[in-house]
Amino acid sequence: MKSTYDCPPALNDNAIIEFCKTGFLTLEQVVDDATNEKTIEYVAKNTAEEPVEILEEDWFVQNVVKNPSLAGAVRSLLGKNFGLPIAMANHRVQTPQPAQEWHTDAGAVYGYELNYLQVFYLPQECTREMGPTEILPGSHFLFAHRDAMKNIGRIRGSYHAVAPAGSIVITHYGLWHRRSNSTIKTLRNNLKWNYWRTESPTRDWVIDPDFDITKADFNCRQPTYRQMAKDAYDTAEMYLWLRGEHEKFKLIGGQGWPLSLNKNAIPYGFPLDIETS
Amino acid sequence: MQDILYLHTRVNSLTSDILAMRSVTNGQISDGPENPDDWPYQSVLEAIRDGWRVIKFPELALMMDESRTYGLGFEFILER
Repeated sequence: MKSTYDCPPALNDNAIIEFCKTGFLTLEQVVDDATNEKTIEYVAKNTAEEPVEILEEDWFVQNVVKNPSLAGAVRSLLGKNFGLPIAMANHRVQTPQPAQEWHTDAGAVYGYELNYLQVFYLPQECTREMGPTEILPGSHFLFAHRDAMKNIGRIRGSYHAVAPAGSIVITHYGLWHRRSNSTIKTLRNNLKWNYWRTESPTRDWVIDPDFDITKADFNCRQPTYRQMAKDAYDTAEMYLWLRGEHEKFKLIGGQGWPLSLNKNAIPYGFPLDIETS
Repeated sequence: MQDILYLHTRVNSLTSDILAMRSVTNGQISDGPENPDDWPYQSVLEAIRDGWRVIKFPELALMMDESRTYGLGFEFILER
């Protein structure tokens, strides 16, 4: 059954901008040990690839789906009254295995809009040897046919989601990813589901009084996989879309906003009808 | 048997640093070492100097579209 949820937001502007840059956010060890163990027991009995019945379990919904750290981050990115999952997948993998091919999940839409999020929940520790999910930071802005990226192997700057038990990775659905190679014998569970936007984007996350958008750094870490400056343009456009101010996003080019260079005044090209703090 | 080397570079130059690699040697696919510093080549030119021949240069038409970024860098395919 479809339902929505609301809670206080947890992210501030800088965290929102960081998500716009990378397309993901890792919350380490946010689910308690008892719930992690209960989840592992549950999926050991229900080994389906799509154990949707777990969404009927109140302990799972309260402690994982509505986990305060997770829900607070989702609330910040998708706005209030976000839609709760109606589907569940579990990547239950007997390792060791070779790496998967790089891919995006079916239906991925690239670009600055963020109308749903995909999350990965690790009920047990996932070490590098266990073949964690490998993510390409910023790839939500790299348009590629999902079947045309199969000859790409090792990528400089990829991120391996190595994390302790109870960790959750929140991702833009369009991120390129794959299961990385594993080298030890074990059984790895990785539960995956989506949250959905139900309300128009607006800047209703945590406001830090010291934040100044004219001084915010929109540049991404290298490599950005994009033409110089495009990473900052992409980040700023997504950030303004999330603020509900996409129509104000205009570029004058050159060294104007949103390029982050040392400046002694509000950058040229900064949209003057945007609140700076 | 034909060996194949896929190299994705940051810019459209034989001397550019490499963003991604995959090789097919003696029929075996390899993604290479995990640490990019340990990749067998740090540029397409290094691979050429080691006997690889470029059989496909990057397609540039999509790079002329400033509104969108297509794919991952510039793909060179080499063989030997």
